[in-house]
Amino acid sequence: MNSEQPLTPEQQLEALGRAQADMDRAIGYGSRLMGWYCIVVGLAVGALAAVLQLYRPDENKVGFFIVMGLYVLVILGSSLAYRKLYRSLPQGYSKRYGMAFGLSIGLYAASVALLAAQITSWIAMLLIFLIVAAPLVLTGIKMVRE
Amino acid sequence: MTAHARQRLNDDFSNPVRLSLMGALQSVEEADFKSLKDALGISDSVLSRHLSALEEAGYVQIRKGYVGKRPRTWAKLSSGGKTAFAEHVQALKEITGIS
Repeated sequence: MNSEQPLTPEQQLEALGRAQADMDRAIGYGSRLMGWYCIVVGLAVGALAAVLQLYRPDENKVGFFIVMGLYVLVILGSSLAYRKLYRSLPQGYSKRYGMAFGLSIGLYAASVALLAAQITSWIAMLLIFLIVAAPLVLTGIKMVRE
Repeated sequence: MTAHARQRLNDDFSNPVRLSLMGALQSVEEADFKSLKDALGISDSVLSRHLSALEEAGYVQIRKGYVGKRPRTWAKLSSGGKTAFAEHVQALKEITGIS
């Protein structure tokens, strides 16, 4: 883009289309990366929510605090990674990520409340994993496919 | 009576670099300096100059921050910028008979 001469309306529309296509290409990689990042964080939070059911604080305090510590590390790590990844995102992506992240965190909190129910069946744990991971994983898959 | 489309064209966007910058920013929430530079194929100084001019005119908001220890600059359209650019594009479409 060397010329800075004013363009005709037709040329302006043409240049506009080109600029938007170039920008779409430039942010495509970042969007896919963001999608994979959502999937990984979702799977990690879901897995921790499921594993937590095996470590009730009244039975295994150390295990409980290790899982909760890992959860805090995942949240802190993902926040730092998000800041690094966040270069340029298509319209609506950060809002979608924020909503999915908030939902998965809320579901993780609900899984902590479930500790009192003493769930030990593998199917129930698998279900907890899937439910907690779902918001971020589904959002991530959508971002990768778009 | 509404003005003719030609009168509704915004001279601030007639420059090809500014037009492309506004168009590129229209498709993202926010873009960092490097992404814009790569997408538009322009030098740091040209991008910097035009971004500053658009910021001064109130069309673009610039945010500076750090990622780790590295400084990074992000730009996004202001709400006034979004409206002004949408009107400009609409006028262009009317003139060229696209809408």
